[in-house]
Amino acid sequence: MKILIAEDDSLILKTIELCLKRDGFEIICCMDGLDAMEKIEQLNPDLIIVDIMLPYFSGLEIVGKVKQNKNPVPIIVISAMGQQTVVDEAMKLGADEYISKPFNIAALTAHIKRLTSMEEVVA
Amino acid sequence: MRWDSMIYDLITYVIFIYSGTQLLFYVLIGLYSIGATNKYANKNSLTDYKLLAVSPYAPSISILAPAYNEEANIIENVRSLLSIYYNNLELIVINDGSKDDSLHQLIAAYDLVKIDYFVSYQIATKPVRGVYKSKNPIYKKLVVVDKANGGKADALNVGINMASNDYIVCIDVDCVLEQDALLKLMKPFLETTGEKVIATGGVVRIANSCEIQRGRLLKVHLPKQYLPRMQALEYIRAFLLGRMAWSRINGLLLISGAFGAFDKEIAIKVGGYDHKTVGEDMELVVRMRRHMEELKLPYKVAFIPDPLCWTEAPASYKILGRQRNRWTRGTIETLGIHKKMFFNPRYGLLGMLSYPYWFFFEMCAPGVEFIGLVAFVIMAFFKLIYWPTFFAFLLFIITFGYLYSAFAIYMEVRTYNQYRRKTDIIKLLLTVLTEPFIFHPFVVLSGVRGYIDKMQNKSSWGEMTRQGLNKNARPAIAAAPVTVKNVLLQAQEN
Amino acid sequence: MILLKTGFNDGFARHVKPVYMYGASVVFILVTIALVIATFYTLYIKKKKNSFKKSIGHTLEEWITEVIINESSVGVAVPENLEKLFKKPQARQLVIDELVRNKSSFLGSVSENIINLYYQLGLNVDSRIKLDDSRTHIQCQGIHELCVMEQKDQLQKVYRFTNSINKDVRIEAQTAVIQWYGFKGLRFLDVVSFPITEFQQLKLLELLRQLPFTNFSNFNKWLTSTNDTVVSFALKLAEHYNQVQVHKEAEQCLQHKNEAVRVQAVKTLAKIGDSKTAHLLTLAYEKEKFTNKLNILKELPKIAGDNQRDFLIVQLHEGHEYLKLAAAKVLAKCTSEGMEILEAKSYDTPVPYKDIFLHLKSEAER
Repeated sequence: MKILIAEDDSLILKTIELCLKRDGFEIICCMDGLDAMEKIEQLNPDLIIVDIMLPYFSGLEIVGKVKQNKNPVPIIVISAMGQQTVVDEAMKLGADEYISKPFNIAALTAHIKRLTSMEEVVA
Repeated sequence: MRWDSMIYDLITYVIFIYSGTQLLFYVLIGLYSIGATNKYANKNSLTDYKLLAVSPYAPSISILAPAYNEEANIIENVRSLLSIYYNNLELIVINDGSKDDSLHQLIAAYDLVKIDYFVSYQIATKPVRGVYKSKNPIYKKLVVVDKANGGKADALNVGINMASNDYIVCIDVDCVLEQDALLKLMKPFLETTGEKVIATGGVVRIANSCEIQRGRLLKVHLPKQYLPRMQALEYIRAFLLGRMAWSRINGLLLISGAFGAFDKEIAIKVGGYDHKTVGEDMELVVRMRRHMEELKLPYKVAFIPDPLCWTEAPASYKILGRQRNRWTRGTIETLGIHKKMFFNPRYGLLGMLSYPYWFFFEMCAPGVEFIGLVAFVIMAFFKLIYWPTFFAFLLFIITFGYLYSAFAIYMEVRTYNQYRRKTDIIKLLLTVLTEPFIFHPFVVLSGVRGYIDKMQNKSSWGEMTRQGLNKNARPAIAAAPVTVKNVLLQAQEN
Repeated sequence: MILLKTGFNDGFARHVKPVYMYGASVVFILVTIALVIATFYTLYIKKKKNSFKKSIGHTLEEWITEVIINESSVGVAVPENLEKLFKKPQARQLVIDELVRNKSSFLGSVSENIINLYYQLGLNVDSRIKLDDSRTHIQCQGIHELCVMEQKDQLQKVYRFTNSINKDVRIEAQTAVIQWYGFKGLRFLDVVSFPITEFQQLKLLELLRQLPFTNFSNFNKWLTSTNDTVVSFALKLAEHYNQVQVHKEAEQCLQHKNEAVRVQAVKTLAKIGDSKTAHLLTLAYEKEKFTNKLNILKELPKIAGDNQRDFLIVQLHEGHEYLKLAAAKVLAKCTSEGMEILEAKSYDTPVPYKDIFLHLKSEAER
């Protein structure tokens, strides 16, 4: 199970990475939107976690682009301040779940498990 | 004492006072900028600008991006503007009657359709030919306006008329914004409690030789070519020292046309940009200030010392000359329109200090220097120059110029430190050494050409300059103190 | 030429001798050299700081993340190479910065572990000392760190700063009090005499939004405060938390002398009010200037109905084109047959009503 995480703060990225690795996921890390877009194309992750505010491409754009390419991969959006309008926008563009900072890692893993098991059922 | 000797003495002293005052200004500006920069750096280390991007209470913004024959890059430029993350935002791209394919490219790239839109002509402009919006929800913030050609000011006025939000941010489509630039630009509007902030501007830096990808700055490099590098220094001096000091006393007259924010209501009230002048960016700020002064309302023009916007500087003498020529004309026109404020106590600091400073040391400087140079040549020809005094003054002025530039570089390293490599700083310092002999005379000459063109009443931007990359990122303080070099020379013919 | 006829040997050069100029030039050159040296020195220091950060940054990050994701961080051993490092103030500050940054993104066990680590390294003491620093930006930093690390025992000290004369200190302190005590922390509004800037209001609202809503204690007092920014802020709270019970007080704010307060009062009333409130707003409209007129028309769609039709039709004919468009918008959206009225008008007087009608029609279709 490959998970791509795009988050511009290295420490936060690292923390999420380690937590998820501990749960047995394979992790791809990206620090900016451009990198994320490229890696999504190349590495075909099974799930994507993106921060809304990223350099070069915002999280919203990534969601929009991925969904427009008819890529069925589930996406979890992390919003820095969980402002409803932004989240709504992300969901409208096709994000599957959102989580707002500050968040509990346990909640994130729960979302991941739910979304990825759904994937398997569909497949 | 003979009458002619008295006149001579008078001229000498007037010129001496002129130069002395200018030097004094530079010293004061230098000193005054220190405190302001320090204060700012300490204050904002904890600010979470992102808050502004998402809060429903953040001010609503309309970004106005005029484009004329920008076919080559318009899609990329708009894309990078669309990636600015701000909740309460609309992006109005104004196609100013481009002769190329810009509009169709935009329509194709962003799924645009023509819509019915009520355009109010409260500021008179050339007619709007059509308003377009995207069918794709990702681009819902985008509005494209197609209008008859009328120049940059006219295009911006259409944008102001169309803007549905409270604040307008005017931007050159080809400049590169820093992350958070918009947020930093907007914050001062929310910071005051007493006076009204009517406009804000930020630091413009030179993008030549920098690594830029998809409209974002990846890596800063010192410009490799001489002219851009010289301008990089010039911009550091102007923004880090000049504008910083002027804004501290709320005396700013100019917000760079490349990136600035304005209170829409006041911009409309004063009638928007003046399309008759080539210095429309400065003229608008002066007119807005004048308006507030006349109504006796407390107000402020705020300045953000962070580098916010990177722009391509002219790399050839031809284009640079044209740019400076235009700046001079713009200054003459702006000051001409508002000559009523000259030493008029009714306009407070604006009339008593800012305006006169611009008049004497920005507008007149090229002329005074040029006359000085001519006089010097004539006197040298007639062997009227007392060389020891001449060399003493020359050295005095040149060394002062170096001192001022070295101070600016020191401040830059201490604060924003954009050019981190030791070799870059050395290169920059070496460039400083050449300024009084190459760059500065050229700038003066271009200014004088501006006078001549002004007298022959050339008011147009000129097709070529409009296409140039660098349009309006002018840094306000014309040049180093070497400005006074030739002036002092004139006084030395004993 | 005058200059040719006179053989000057008086005047200027007598007072300003070349030697003075040379002297000054030498001084300038010396200062320039000093500045150049200072520049390179600063560059060197910055580089050193940076490379120090870089060199330990990675190790530190590895270690911190390792500690904070573990189930329990109590009694974690500090690696030897880091232990020595932690005696350096810069390194300590670096750790604080990293922890503070990470803390604000997480909840649950990760967050608890971060606080534990902060204690264990004694960094809370570092933060506390900063409160007594004479430099305000250091004070701010201290408050911010204590705030994020939930050092509620510092309340007393921090609370005093909520009405500090320094704007930045005040902002940090108010933030901390809200962060710790949520809606109860708002009691500083009772006494705060300095203005709370718009930006600070945004920040506080955002903080409160993340906390469970309890209730407001002193709403009336805030809405009648002599501090205009407190009134504004209270109105925003009333809007956001739909505090219908303050309708009366908010109504009174429509007469407030400060325009910013009146503008916010309109927004609040449009949120908490009903069709009767719409009538009140139309009454206030007459007395307002352009800014708030437009604001009222923009807010009216939330509460307006057929009772406002006559008012809106009048506005369609009066004033600024922006106001006409805004009035037409309310008319189309909130009144029955509003669109028909506009359509009829567009045939009747095509300029400007045809464009206005088409604009609204196209907007409705999108």
